[in-house]
Amino acid sequence: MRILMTTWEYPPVKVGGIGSHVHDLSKALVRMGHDVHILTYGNTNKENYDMGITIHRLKAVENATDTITWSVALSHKMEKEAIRLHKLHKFDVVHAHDWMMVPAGSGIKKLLNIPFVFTIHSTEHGRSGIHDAYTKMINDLEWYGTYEAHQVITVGKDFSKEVKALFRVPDEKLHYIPNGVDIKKFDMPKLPAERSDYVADWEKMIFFCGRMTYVKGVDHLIEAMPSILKEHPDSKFVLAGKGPDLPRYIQKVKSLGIAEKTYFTGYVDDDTLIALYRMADLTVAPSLYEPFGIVALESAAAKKPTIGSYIGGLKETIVNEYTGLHTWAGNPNSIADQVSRVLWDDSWRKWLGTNGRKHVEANFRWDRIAHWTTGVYGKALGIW
Amino acid sequence: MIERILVISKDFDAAGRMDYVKDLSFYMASRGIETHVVCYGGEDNDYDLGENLHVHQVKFVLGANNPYNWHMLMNNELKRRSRELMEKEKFDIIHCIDWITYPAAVGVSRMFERPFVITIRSTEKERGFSIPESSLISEMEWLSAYDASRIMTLGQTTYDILFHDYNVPAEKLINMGGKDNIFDETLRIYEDAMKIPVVAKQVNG
Repeated sequence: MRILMTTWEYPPVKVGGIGSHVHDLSKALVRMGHDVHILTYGNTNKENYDMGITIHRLKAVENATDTITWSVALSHKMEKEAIRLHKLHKFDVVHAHDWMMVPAGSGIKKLLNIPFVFTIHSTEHGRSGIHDAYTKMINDLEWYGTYEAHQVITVGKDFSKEVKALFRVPDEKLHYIPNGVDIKKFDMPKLPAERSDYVADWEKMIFFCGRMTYVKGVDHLIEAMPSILKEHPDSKFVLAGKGPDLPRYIQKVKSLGIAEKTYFTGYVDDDTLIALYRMADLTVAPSLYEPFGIVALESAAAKKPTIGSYIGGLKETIVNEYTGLHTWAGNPNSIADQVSRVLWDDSWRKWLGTNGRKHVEANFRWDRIAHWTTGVYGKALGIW
Repeated sequence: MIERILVISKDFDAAGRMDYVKDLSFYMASRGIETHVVCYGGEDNDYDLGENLHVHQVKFVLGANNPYNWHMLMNNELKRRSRELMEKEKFDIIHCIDWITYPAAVGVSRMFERPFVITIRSTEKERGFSIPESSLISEMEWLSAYDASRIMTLGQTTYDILFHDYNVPAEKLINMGGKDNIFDETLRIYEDAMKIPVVAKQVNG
């Protein structure tokens, strides 16, 4: 099959997790023998070939008034490039990721007359709520994507229900296919960072990674910290990621008097992130909204348990009392209690981590996910 | 010899007031040219106005947070209907009106390797650069002039802006303003444009 993927971010351009998702899925599709072309954003127009994937980067406009307008303008360029590439390669299907690529996916479908598959990774309703013309437009684009697409993929079981209810997507075109984890990356022999760069030898490292925004539950994690430190004074919190609320969080830990027990790393690259998972004693995912919950799987791939909210995709990616523990979302006491339990028992913590790794190996390998995805392509093409 | 043309316009009101697109389309049909007009409307609707004039109205259900986004997205429906028509019949030329239908015109032009011409009735500069997206709209006007085989204007001011500010080459820019038989001239421009080969070139801007 010849597949045209459209994604606004693709490594090394990374903001959220969509770029990595498309990269790992594409690699697995290539291993299955499919021909994958990526249309994405870049600083300049260029084409390169990497691990069997052909990547076509297009420069975006510099005068867009907002992100929606930026993506609409980029989509116009993508459509024109898609026509040129289609004449050379004859694509079977276009697969667009998230609302920013809905204009491109829909436009390419209409011009090339090929099936359109749409993966929705999260919704504006869940991320921030619909409260003005801007968020309404994003919500409308998400609906439009599900309406225009021949088949729709969601990344979480609960999230599938959310998408169905929000956008009234018929069951027959809605498919749940989870994200995957590239386990090999977590077995790299040499880490690019030292544990002593972040914590003292005698300290237990509690790790968080994600966007520094309210929806990731960082407020509640910070509010849980004093209780955890009271029980486990040898703990230290390492928080990786950037986001609009980062300055507020730095101020918040200062005002609680626990600044020396927290380390905000800011943005970290992929290899450093894996190193942090591996050097941590446990990972915390206190999200208030999480369509999938890749953090719990990445932590499990590094053989570390995750203490995460009982919401959305984390319900599936954490097997409670077996690969990690669930907490009540938005509840600092619940976070503190569960983290403390895991810190008290070293052997139990290791057992949870080992189970997590097995869970990922059995259920979240990219080869398996790519196989399911081609099934959706086949349905879009009317093959099966 | 021109047998069939595709006109892409946001508006087409056959029963309404005198209008450039209406007059152009009726004129071409009266000359025995099979004229298809793809336009936006409240409903999907195909209807004929006489033997040679066929109107294909498309609806678009989405709203948008600014006029630029709305027009760009609405073009997806113009693309769909235009592509469906071009799959069935061979069109000699595509004629789009203003930047608001350029995305559809350039799409089907490249897809089916047929030339397109554009009429730019006014530029964003003339309209006062009055919204935050004006520079993007102006950029689309430049792109449409870059990609079109021929560009027609209806007034000298528009011509001058395209020539001086947008650097459109004089050999592909024609001001129709003040001419007696602008649709006869348009036919001649179609014939010129048809001599220029169309390829799906690499995106360069």
